[in-house]
Amino acid sequence: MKVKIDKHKLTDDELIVYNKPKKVYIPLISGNDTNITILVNKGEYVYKGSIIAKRKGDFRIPIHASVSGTVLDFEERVCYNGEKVKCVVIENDFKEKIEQKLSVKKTINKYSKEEFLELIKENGIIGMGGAGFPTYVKYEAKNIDTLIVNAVECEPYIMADYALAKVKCEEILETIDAILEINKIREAIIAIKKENIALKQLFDSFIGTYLKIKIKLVPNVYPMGWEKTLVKQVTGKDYANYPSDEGIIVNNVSTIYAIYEALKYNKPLIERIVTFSGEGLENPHNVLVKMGTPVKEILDEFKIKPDSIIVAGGPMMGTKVEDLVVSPNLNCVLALENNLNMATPCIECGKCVSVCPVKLSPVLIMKTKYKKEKDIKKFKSLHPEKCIGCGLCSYICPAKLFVRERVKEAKDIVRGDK
Amino acid sequence: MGPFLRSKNSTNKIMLHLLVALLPIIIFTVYKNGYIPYSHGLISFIEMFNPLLTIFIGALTSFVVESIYALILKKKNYIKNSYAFFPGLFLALILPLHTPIYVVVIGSVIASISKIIFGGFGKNMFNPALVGYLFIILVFSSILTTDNYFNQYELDTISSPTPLTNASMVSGIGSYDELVEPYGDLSNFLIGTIPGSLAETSALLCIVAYIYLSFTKTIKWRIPLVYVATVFIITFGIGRLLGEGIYYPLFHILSGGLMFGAVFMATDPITSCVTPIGQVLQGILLGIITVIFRFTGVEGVAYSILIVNALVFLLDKIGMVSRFNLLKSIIWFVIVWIIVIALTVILAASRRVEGNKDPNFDITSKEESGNQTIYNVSQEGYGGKIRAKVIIENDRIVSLEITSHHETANRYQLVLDSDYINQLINNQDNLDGLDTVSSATVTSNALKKLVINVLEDYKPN
Repeated sequence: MKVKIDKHKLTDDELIVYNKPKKVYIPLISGNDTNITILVNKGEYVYKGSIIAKRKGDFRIPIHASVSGTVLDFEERVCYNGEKVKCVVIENDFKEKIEQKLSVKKTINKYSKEEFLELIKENGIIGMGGAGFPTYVKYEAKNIDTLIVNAVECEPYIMADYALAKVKCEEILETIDAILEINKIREAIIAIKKENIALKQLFDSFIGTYLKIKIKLVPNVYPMGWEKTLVKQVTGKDYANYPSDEGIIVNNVSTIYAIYEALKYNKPLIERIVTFSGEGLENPHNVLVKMGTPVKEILDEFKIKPDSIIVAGGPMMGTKVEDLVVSPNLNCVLALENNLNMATPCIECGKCVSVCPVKLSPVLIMKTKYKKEKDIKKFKSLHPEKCIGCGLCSYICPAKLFVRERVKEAKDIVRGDK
Repeated sequence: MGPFLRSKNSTNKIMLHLLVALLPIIIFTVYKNGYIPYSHGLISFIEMFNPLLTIFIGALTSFVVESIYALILKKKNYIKNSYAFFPGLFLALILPLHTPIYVVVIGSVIASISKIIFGGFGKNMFNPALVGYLFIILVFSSILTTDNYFNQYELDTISSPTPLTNASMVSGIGSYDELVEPYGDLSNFLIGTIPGSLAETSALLCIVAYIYLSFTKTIKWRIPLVYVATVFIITFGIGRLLGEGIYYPLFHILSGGLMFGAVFMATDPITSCVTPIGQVLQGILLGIITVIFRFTGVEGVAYSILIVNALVFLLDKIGMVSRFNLLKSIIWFVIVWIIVIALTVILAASRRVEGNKDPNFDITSKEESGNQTIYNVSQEGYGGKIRAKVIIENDRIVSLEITSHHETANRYQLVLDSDYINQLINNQDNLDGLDTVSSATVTSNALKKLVINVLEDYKPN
């Protein structure tokens, strides 16, 4: 069962640009990987778009400077997951200097597959929806049949993809078409929430010549933006580990647009749209921001109310933070009123069981106690490792318990044993 | 720690919905057990509010017991979140009218203690109200089984057996005339103007409550539905096998505490299954056990719920595993359905009346001398065996003398007052046309059957 959560829409979904960070703190994190080589030194001048670091290990994708200026220092800053990450601090000289003039391609569908992969890899394109998985890796898979473009915002409040799709509708369609042609993919399906019917109409008015692109409306339920739910909803298929097992690639709108800029302008992933919203903000907005911008600066701009808490990410899966810096997979920052209720005893109403999208029985997991080594067996039979952390169990709980956190603990117990 | 968005659900809301659903039932019980007897001049104005008093005392007692518990253990916020009054409230609702107040108090104390023993709110394994009820049945059985029910159809007295007590005394599975007729018709079962404990008689109000509570997602809707459906299916099968009509399963689902128990007691969140498959299995098991109890002559809703409470843990385990793999639950469904079918056939066979032999009738001795035959026989009555000496002369009953009985005094007196014994002798050729004594239906019916059975033995068709 999926749950319909009251929508929290921005009254004003107009896109604004925040271009003023005096300093940016480029986080040295790619996905969840912080194993990254720094390629610049203190005091060095960097251009906007220069490679300043590179991921080690299997996915050697680069990280770029989002402004031109001088490297001041390396500092730890809190990132989207609430953890401190080493950042490259660059003092912005506001000259927006780039290393070499970028050539603008007239058509973006003439690349070979190898060139395409190279371009999106070298421009550091990663999944901008949440996990931050390198995009080129998805396209390396064989026999891809369907591309699903995720225009379903994963959580309430978030409107970053929606705002982008509204202004860059034509570019997005052009990119999808190019991706299909370059990768020999049969069709693409753009998934849009039913409540965003206006967006579908907008796409419809441009879609005429793109015969391989379809649009599908999906229900306004959470967690619709979750890859597995979306794939099931759109294609009816279940997959074991990755969508590519079933010949499917899922990219969200922001990622598609990043691919567009990479193909068209050879532009790296150095900015993105972030939704700034929540009851704690007087002026919520979708904002185009540079990577590494300290979020507090923007929140102050929008008049954050004094007692608000800041949440990185959506209200369901986000993390409470004091301040953080913008990274490629940060789609939302919320300022919320601090109104978490007192928890009361569990009455075993079973609501958490009925809402869990991966069919766990959270209440039974909560009731299981870990005392001895062999208790792990009990936990294993409950499969807490399947938890995707969507938070619906806590959301629905009438006793206001932190159900997801308890499932997470069980997940750690089971994982620790492996 | 997230999520930072929470639904508007709260335990308070759930409990409030429960109270709202109970309200019409409480109003109805005051009407039925208070206003109607008052309007017929059977009780005083003050006594009219006895049902309310019973409910209030029950709730208050439970609240006091848990407050003391919280005070002793110095649990500051405990009482605020423990909904301490519910066990006594529910207990009072399933007790008969005129249950002495001290019994209500003792039952409520036991109910709350049964909750505390397990560690208080949210931890009890058994439905507290039903534990209190079980205690009362075991210790004060004499008080509960006597005539504390009020039957609107016998307005001249305030006591009458419940339909299920009545049903346990018929031969075979009974007939419409035996089961339903004494209480008017089935619409009275639906509305609730039949004898029974305070809140359990109105099936209609329970159904309304069920719809309300399911719609507001307050209760686990699968349990009552499957429970009642299972009882219906089994009794429908038995009825069909023994040639009874659709009234028979309806009689079963509408009488006793089934509806009230299914909607309010079996769904008690703490003591019921959390997994959907577990809930369905729980409902089927409840149905099976209830029917078994009823066919052994006991109203088994309370016992069934308590027994299944102990199995909830196992049922949830099945339910939990089946969520990942539905196939794993199929074996269990096959098992319970085999039980359902087997039970239907076995119970029907056990109640098949061979020839016209009445199992409640016994011939102790039979002496023939010339044209006179003297029978010493017994017939099951309301309180046990009614023994009688019947003398037949020239193929006709000339004397019927009751030698011993355990019937209620006022009932027996009614039978004597109406000269029923002479009526039986006078109408021995046309007993079908003879009405039973109003307000003493069971006793007079037993006597009538006794005569029929003697005549049957004397000159078999």
